[in-house]
Amino acid sequence: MNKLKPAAPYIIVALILMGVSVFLPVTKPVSSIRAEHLFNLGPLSVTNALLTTWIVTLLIILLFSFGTRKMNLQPSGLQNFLEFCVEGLYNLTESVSGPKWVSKFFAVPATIFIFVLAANLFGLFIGIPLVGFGLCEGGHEAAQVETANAESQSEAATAQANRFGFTCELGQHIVPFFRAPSADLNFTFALAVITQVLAQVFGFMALGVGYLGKFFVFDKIRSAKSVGEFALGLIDVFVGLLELLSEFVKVIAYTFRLFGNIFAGEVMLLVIAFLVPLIAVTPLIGFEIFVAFIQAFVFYILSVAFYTVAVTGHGDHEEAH
Amino acid sequence: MDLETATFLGKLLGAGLAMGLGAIGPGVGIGIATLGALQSMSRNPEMSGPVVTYMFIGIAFAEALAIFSLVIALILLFVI
Repeated sequence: MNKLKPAAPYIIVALILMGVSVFLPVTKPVSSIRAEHLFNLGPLSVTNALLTTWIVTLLIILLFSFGTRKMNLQPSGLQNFLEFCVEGLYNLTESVSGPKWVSKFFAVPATIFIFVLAANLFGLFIGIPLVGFGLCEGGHEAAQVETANAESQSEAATAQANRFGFTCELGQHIVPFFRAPSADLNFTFALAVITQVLAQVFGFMALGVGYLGKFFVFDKIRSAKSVGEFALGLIDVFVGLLELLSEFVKVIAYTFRLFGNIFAGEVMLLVIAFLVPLIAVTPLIGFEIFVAFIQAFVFYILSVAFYTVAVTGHGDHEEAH
Repeated sequence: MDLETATFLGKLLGAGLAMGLGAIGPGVGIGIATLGALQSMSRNPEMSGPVVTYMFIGIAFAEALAIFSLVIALILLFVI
């Protein structure tokens, strides 16, 4: 009996969790790759991701306005914490971009970092697989699946009826009120476009029209005197055009990196919660918190790094030191 | 086998293959990135802070490829 003593808390917790999983069955996951429509606000179709985005924005505004309401020269409490965060981000930006550009580079990527981090954590905290209330809709998916296998769909519908006592009629599925904003392509695409357009703006600010010289490299081919030099110049032209293409590919990469990570995490949590209720999903939520932070950080640090690349011209390598 | 069944089968096969094959390269890449980071950190523990930062950036790049194949798999399953 003594040997069992250290393990007792774990056993008790496991028993409680198992009991919970019996009383709160998690239903068959219905995951949609696009954010689902909730209601109309005039001509605007409000999806669940958009609603969550608004809530997150409101939360961030409230947090920062509360933190900076009574500004002290010697910060304490919430103000201290916020200053610590922003200052840490500022120093990190400076270590990547150098002291010259840090004041210009800081604002947008740091805002995106805070916003994306809050959005990811909110989407996770609200517990998509566990909080099963929302609207009932007879959505397009039901009709689609009906042709493929009508039986499993109706099964899912009946199973969904007993989640938290929230009921949906047969053939309908629950559309949750909340969805992690990053699990909506519109959100990540908007952020990616903003970041990437800003990179071009910084490039023109730093190098003027010469910024275009990064992409259209014709000086070597113009001054070529032999066939070999001409071929080398041709390679330069090609490399420049590839560089131009990569500016557009970066938007796609930004978009799908954030979207894929968060959406995949959400689907994984749904599926695991369906297979092994609550017990197996708990450590994975910890992992997803880590992923939420890392993805926000990667978005931020990559945008700062690309800005730094954009403002450094061809020849001036000494600026990097 | 009629066309509908064949399409369904193709979707499942394509999604599985896309994710499975697409995860090989990034797996190797993440392994190499972590290997290099660990080696440099064990040689010079004072530099571990920046090394971890750059390691995560490299891992994010490698992982992005796996995520792309995941997105393709999801598109195959849900959209097309």
